Amino acid sequence: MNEVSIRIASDTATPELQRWIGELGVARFHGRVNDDLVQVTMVHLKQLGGNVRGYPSTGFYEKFARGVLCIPTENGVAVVIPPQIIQGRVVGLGMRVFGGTITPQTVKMLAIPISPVSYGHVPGEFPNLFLLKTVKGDYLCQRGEEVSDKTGRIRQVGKSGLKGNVGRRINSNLVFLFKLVSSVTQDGNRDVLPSDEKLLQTAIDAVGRGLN
Amino acid sequence: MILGDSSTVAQALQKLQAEGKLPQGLSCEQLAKLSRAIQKYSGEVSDRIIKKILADWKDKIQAAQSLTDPAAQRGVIYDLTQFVGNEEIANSIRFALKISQEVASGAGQYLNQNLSPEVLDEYPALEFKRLFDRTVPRGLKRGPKGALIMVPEDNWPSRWAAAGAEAGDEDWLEWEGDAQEGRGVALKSSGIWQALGNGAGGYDDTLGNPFPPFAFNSGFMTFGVHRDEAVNLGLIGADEVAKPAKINFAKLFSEVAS
Repeated sequence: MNEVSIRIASDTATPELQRWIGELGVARFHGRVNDDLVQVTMVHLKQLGGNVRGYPSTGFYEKFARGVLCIPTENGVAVVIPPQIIQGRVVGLGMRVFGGTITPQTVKMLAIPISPVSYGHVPGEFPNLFLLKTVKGDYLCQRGEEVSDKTGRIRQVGKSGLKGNVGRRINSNLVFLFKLVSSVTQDGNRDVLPSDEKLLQTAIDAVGRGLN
Repeated sequence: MILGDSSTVAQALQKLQAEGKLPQGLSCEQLAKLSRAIQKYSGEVSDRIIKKILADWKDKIQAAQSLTDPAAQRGVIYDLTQFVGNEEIANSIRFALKISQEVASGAGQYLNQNLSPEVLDEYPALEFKRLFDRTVPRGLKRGPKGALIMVPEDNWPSRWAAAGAEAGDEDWLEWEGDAQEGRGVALKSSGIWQALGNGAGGYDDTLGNPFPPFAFNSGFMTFGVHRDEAVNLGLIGADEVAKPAKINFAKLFSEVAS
């Protein structure tokens, strides 16, 4: 379910659009609606913006917005949102739209970021992580301080050289970065895509404009 | 309207080729590269960015070697080891891949805008304007206490004017509106797009492609301009045949890093 496509075809569109597709032919219909459908989908994805926890944006939807295409099909057009590479993995919008259960493919557990520091990152990017098992679950944590090998004194991790979000680790002695889970079930959200009505109206407007 | 249709970009491209919608002579190999480039990233761009990162390191090492004060030298070397040892290198590589992927997505849209004669006929021109917000937009920089300071010579209208001067044609219009909310409009076939990507005017943060992103971390994109508007703007005649961009397929389909 990596790639999402929204098909506007003569068998599913409104009667008005069906008539236009029949009269113009698929190639001309595609030509007339192509750029407008791409633009409206890009703008919609861009507006989705941030995340529910208010963590710093990783530009998730921007990646997909940049790749939107509109291609002709047998009897209409399809707006295609190709998958993107995120954290080294091929990720599609399908899971966001239709929902489903995510299970680990190459590792034993999924590491879910639970801190603004780890959001948009993977455990491998954080040095000296350790596993902390609690009654509420298993967590990957990082010490905010460590003992220097040379002097034996406690020094703060990330005091020098580390910038940005990682630098925040010095504010706490123990930072919970990831929760380990065996799977995650995500609800679908149709609003990730522009509504059918919006796309159809965009197509109708584009066809109508060409007739002026 | 059907959601979740299973057709892939590769299948769609094969279909386009079968229908004669792609240029003649596009081989199966090129088609495969196109599909991979769209779904992954351009190896050439990725390679170029990583080389630039390595060159930056080299400069820092040379700077340290040229210092005569041992304390200052140690300071620079310490900074360098911190730089190499911590996550900045990972961030740099990740940034390179992010940019490469944006370029690959841009390549897909570039082809989508240019390959179909019908799309070209209906949308002969493009407008270049902001879609994605940036904390520090191009044309501004951070000043004391985080204040944003204008750098007019770096903004997109300045770059647009410089690119137009190098475009070699008159198929583009002067920038409309202000630097952040305004737009530049040109025919798809204009040389201004490649000049913009080449950094015409001496800009060294551009990526070399004739489509967005034209420069690192740019939030500007291109959108089709309908024929009626292009005619009203004086860019094309009502019955004039629109020309596509001169696509450099060899450059566009460079080997993909695996």
